[in-house]
Amino acid sequence: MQRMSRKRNYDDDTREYKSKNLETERRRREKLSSRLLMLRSIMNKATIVEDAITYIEKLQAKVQSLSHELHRMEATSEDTAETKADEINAVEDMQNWGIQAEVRVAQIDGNKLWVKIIIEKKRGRFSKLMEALNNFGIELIDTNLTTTKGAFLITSCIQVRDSKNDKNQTCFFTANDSCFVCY
Amino acid sequence: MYEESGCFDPNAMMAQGTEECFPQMVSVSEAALEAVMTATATQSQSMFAVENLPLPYSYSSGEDAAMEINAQKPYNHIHNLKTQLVELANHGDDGSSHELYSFPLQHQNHQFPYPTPTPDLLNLLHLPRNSLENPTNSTNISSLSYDPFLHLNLQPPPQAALRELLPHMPAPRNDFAFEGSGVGFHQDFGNEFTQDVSYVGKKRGGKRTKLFTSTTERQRRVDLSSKFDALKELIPNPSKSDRASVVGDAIDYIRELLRTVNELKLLAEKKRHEKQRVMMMMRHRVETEGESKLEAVGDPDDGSYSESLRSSWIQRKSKDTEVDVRIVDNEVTIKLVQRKKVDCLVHVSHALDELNLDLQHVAGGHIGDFCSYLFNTKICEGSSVYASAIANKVIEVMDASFAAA
Repeated sequence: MQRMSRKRNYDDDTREYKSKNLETERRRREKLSSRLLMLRSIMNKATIVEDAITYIEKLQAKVQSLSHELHRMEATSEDTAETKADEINAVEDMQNWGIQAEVRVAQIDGNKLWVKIIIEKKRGRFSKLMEALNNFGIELIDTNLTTTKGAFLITSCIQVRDSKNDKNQTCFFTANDSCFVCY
Repeated sequence: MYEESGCFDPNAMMAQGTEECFPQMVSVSEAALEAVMTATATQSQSMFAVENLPLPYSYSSGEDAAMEINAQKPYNHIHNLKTQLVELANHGDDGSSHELYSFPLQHQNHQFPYPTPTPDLLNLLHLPRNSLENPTNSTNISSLSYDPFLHLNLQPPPQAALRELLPHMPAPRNDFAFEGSGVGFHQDFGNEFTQDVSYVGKKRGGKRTKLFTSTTERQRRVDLSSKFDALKELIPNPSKSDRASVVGDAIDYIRELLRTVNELKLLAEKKRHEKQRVMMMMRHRVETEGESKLEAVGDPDDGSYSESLRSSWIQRKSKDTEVDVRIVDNEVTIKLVQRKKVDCLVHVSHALDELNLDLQHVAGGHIGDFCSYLFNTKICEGSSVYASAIANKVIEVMDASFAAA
């Protein structure tokens, strides 16, 4: 990017100057790169490994310092107001598009059930739902979540963990319950 | 098809053992081999002229080259032996010792219609096996362990070839071989060895003798291996312990660190701009009381705002979990594969909440012994989370849940 700006500056009148300079620049750069190549070729494996170690340590230190700095900067800024605003928008969105929250359960076979859940998209809703299902002893086999128009659509194939077969009814209810738990 | 073996005198074989006489190793492609086989099948007596064979120092370069053992006969012996197919298991997939010759007797039931005249002879043709370490970059240096023509009293091999062969030490010298070294290193090997080598020879059984090495050489080797260990310490999750993969992992790790550094620099810069903009806005607000907050403020920083797209990706592995985090601008894609079936969704969704990531899409489920998930998330405004932080956090959460289970 910097080189581009330099070109822009020299564009009009100093054309000849630029071409002479370009040649010498290019020659200088080539000389440097060939010398560097030679340097690298004469390094023996011990020094290469050593250099790698020092470089890695240097980079790690840099990452540490940068992340600390970032952390410090983060602490002083305010984000929370914005996320709340997003959430309010989500609920409004859902209403605007006429999407209803719902829970639907269907049996597939044995003790496997299929569940479809639509809930408002809010921060932490999904984790609450997952936790609730987990607490009821439900295991999610295949899960899909997608977001649209301020709503979460979750479909999943679930199974009760202890394999008693007449748990289907309980599954249905627990799926419902867990969704209500999220609210 | 007849097998000709150079010095192959059955009586002599019994006396001396098989070490002295080695049939030539000829590497031909499988197709050529077929052709040769069928060609020779029609002849009752065939002699393979030396000219038809490649040079003694042509090395096999492909995998599983079917080798036909043909031997020259300087002593004009023609023996009827079954042609042997020898497979040269070549090139370090496993880096372990390779069988140079499969025992000829194994191929006895092969397609050849010709009867084996003397099974005892075949027993004697139990060729010596050498364990070698194959350099991973060998194209012109193969797992040739000995000079098949040595018994023919040819001239000794040229120094260069010898020096090239020197890195092929027998198995006990594991700490020496620097697998995967670039071609540039051979220079170094040669120099080191001219100083320290006093004798390289061949004993009976085709095994190489140990090189006589001085203490400086040993010291150097110890230093080098300790450096490799130090390098290994720095790398997160080194999977294999052989030197080539340590170097490979180091390369990947350095690239990853560079990416992280760039990402962090970019984030810091954005944060600084953000702060400046906020300060400008506040200043403006103070100056113009009563005006709407949302009035656009001319921000001089906007022009030089970093136009580069933020992108980074990190991969992390732990014992039971693999995480792949990719960030483009403010969207994060996390791919998670876990070895065991745990309630990973619960933990991961918690972790994502803590990281201020906004779930857009999740897909995945149980596959065999694994569960695999893909998360598409968005970074919330103002959050400055970065790729390796996400990856580390997810791995940490997963490992914790495994430990608890």
